[in-house]
This record gives sequence, C-alpha cells and structure tokens, in this order.
Amino acid sequence: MLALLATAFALVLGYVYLCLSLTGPDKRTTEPTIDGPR
Amino acid sequence: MSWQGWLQIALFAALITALIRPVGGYMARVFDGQSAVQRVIAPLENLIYRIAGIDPAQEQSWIMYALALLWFNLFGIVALYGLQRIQQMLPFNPQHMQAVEPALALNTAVSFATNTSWQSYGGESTLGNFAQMAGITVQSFLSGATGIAVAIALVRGFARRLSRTVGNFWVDMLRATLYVLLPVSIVAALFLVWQGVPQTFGPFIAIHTPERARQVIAIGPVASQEAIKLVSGNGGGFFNANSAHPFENPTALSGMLEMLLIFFVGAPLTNTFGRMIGDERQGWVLYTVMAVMFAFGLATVYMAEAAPTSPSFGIDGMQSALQSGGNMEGKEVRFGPAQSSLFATVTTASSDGAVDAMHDSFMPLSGLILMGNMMLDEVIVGGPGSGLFGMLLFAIVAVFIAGLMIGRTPEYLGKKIESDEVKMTMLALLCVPACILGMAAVAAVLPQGIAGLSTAGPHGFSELLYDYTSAAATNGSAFAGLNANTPFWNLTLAAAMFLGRFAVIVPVLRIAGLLAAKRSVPPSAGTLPTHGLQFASLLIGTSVIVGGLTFFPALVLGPVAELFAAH
Repeated sequence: MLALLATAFALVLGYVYLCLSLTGPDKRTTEPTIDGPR
Repeated sequence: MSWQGWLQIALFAALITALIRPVGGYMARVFDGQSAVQRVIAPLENLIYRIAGIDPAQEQSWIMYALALLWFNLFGIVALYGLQRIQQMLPFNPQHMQAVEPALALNTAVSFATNTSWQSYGGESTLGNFAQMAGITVQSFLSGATGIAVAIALVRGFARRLSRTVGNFWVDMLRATLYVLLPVSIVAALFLVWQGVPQTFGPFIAIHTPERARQVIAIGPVASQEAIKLVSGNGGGFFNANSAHPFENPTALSGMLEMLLIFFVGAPLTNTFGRMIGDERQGWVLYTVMAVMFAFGLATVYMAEAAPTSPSFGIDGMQSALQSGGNMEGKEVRFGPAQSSLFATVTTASSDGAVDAMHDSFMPLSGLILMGNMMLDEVIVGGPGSGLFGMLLFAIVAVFIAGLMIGRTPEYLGKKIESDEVKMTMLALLCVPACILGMAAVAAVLPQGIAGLSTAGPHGFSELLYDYTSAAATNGSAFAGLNANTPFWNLTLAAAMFLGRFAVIVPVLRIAGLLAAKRSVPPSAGTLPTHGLQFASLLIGTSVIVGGLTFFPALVLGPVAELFAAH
C-alpha cells in the first residue's frame, strides 16, 4: 500500500512538472493581445 | 410542502446571508495578519512557528507553496494509514478495535486527507477513539485548512501585482486552523453537547431493552469530531448513520446548526475574496451566483420530496395526524422532508458530505439535483476554500468566453487572462469529469464494480455514478445501497479522491503564480464589468453548460431514465 502511495505521489509530482511545462515561466509583462497594448 | 418548511428554509438563508460580512471580514483580517484576535493569540502562533522552524515572513513562490502542500498532505495520508493499521496497540480503544485492513485503511486515509470523508466503514464498528480523534478529527482540521489556504493563495494572485510569491502555505494553513476552524469548532461542540451529543472516553453502554434483548449503545468523543466534520467540509461521521444518528444530530435545532456550520466558512469566503481584492461587490456577485444555483436545486428537491403522493413508487405521502407527508423513506421523523431536503442540498452543494437522510431513498429528480450539485465541481459554496477557487475557475472561463464573443482580450479583476491561465483552468476543470466518467464507465462493465451494487438498472447506475462523483468532487456523501468495502471500490475511490483533490489544486496554484506575476491593467471601454447581474448571469450559464452538461449523457442513463420509467 505504501508503494502504491509513493507511486501516486510521484504521479502528482509529474503533474506539477506538466503544469510548469504547459505554461512556461511567469510573465511579468503581458503578451501581445488581440486589442494591442494599452 | 408546508409553510413551516419554507419558513425553515428562509431562516437558514437569512442566517447564512447575515454571516457573510462579519465572518468574511474577520477571515480577510486574519489572512492579512491584522485581526484583533490574532494579537491575543499571536504568542501561541509564534511558538508553533519556532517549534516547526518556520519563518512566517518568508513567502513562497507558487511551486514551493504547492510542494509544501503536497508533502504535508502526503504525510497526513501516511500518518492516518499507519494509525488505522496499528490501532489495536493504541490507547483510548475501549472496544478493542482491531487493525483496519490495508485497502480500507488506504481509502480512509486518502478520504480524510483530501477533505472528502468518503467512508467505506462504519465508524462505531471499525475505529477506536484514538484513531477517531488523532486520525479522523485531526485530518478534518488540516484538510479544511489546506483548502482555505489554496483559495487565499489564488485570491492573492488576483490582488498582487508583479509579485513572485503567493503567500506562505504554513502560515495560511496554521492561521486557518488556529483562528477560523478551531474557535468555531469549540463553540459548536459545546452547543452540540448541550443538545445531547455525547463527548466521553467511556466504553459503549450495554442495556437490556423492554423485550429483554441486549443492546449495545455506541458512544465516544462524538461532539468534538462532529463540529469539525461540519465546519471543515469533511463530513465523515463518528457513526455509520452520520448526521441521521441521534447522537450526532439529536434535534431539529442541532440540524439547523449543522447546516449553518457546513456553509460557515465557504459562503463568507466570497466576502473575504472581495475585501482582499479591494472590491466587495465582486464577492457579492459570486455569492449571488451560488445562492441562485442553490435556491434552484433546493426548491426542486423540496418539491420532489414533499409531493403528497407518488403512486408509481407505492408511497402514501399524504399529510395526516400520523405522518408529516411527502417521501419519508430514509428520512428521520424529527427532521421531515423540509429539513432533510435542505440538509441534502446543503451537503451536496458544499462538498461536506454529511447526511441526515439516505440519498438513495430520495426521488429520482432529487437524486439528479444532488448529483448535479457535486458535478458542478463544488462551486455552489463548496468546501472551505474549494468552493471559492472552483467558482473563480468558472469566472476565468466566463470572461474568456465573453472575450471571444466581443473580440477583446479577456480580463478579470484587472488581470489579463491569457493562454496559460486558460490552459490551467481547463486542466483543473476537466480532470474531475474525466475521473468520474472514466471510472464509472470502467466500474459499470467490470464484475468487480457491479458486484458492489444492490440494485440493477438505472438506479444501480445512479448508485455507481453518484459514488464516483462524490469521491472525485471530494464530497464524501454516499448514495447508499453500494457495498464499497471491497478492494476494487476502496482502491478506485481512493484514486478518484486523490485525483479530484490534487489534480485541481496544482493548476489552481499555478494560476495564482501566473496572475500574481502580472501587472494590473486599468479598466477601459472594452472591459467586461464583473460586478453586476450581467456577469452573474454569464457565470451561471458557464457553470451549468461547462460543468453540468458534461455529465448529461451519464445522468440520462441514471436518474433521468429512472424518473421517466416511473411515469
């Protein structure tokens, strides 16, 4: 059961990495937008 | 239906609404570190920081916040699992309860650490007092505080500008426990003791009934567990019958208090949100959306349960001197259809999962609403914190859809909503339906899944769908009629609870980090106002369409088919 828990937690850490890789670094300025810069 | 029933409902609504500003304001001050109570208890808070080696002034980035939360909750799961496995060696076990078998212990550990409180066991026949107190009760506090911490981190994401940090998980979690959950639980436990709920370390009492049969009456430290069970949104009862048991919920007055406690943190958090972002109106919009969806669900359930006769179900529901009328199967006489309908709607809307009536015995239309409440992903008040961050996810989707319709970049509370935030929002919103529908589909075809059902046909499918919904939405209430204490059900439900909690929290914290790092943009002519009825309507539409319609085909196979088959 503990091995099962460890696997589950490893999956969550992988999920954290997925969230990071999907989004990239924090943006301190906004991306170019549809309506252009304000 | 009766005027007394509607009066009871109106009283509940009035009391909750009256609590929004005072409790919401108090929590905003607590998390800003400016509460008057905090100044009194600060020495205790600082002592805990010193013992734990935490610097409360050191803030965390979203990823450090998330990792602290994940490690902390993993430790909670392992600790609760261990407590159950060795409970026969622990003190305060007057009934000499033996070690809980591994699959059930894992299910229970995950259940309480994820704020779900699904119970595949009967409390009074499985756990000793030590496991109930040091395991179940402690995890109820900590999982509730975890949810509040996540919501506060997300609110800070909206409130901050060009910030690398979203707060400190340890500080938020401790403050939520020390200043919010603990004081309310102490007062509530004393109230419940006054109403007749036991609080004792004594052994069970054996009596002889008038028929000379021997009956064992289970007692224990019930009131202390009962209070946090409700305030934390956990919902796991000391007894198998939960709040339908007279020692958990002895009177109609205790029933009213229990419902208020379930909403006590979740509903006022909308006001905390409004205050922390500097515009209370935004909080009132979220509360209005929650209230409208709640009122629709409650009215439907009450009308279905209080309908005078339902010949197709063989129910004599006419009101008379001998019965209160409506569908009384699975309901306590001291609560009746009105309070049972209110409690069922409160508990499924809130993610608490405590029950004072058996949901399996509700009419099909009611079952549909109760499941729908959970399928909306805990946005109708929800659990402490989880309701607020769930609703904010839908708010992000709503402004995104509105942005697409009017051809401008979506903004919410001065933050531009860009592709990264939308990706994370969709990840958080889709993982719960994927989990529920995927697992229900597998259980519906595997013999191990079907073996647990007590009924075939649409009602059997409803049992199965309800239980995965309850697990993945971290609600924890049971439809009843399902024998879930088998390795298949224990393990798959544990997986559903684990994913339903952490697969949502991680992207939410990522969104908090992304938003906190952004600068704020001033409102312009192209900005969608988010403090009025127009946005409230958009948010309701988005929640129902995105949250509800995802499940429509599955609901058709269960409660909808049952409803039409009966007519």
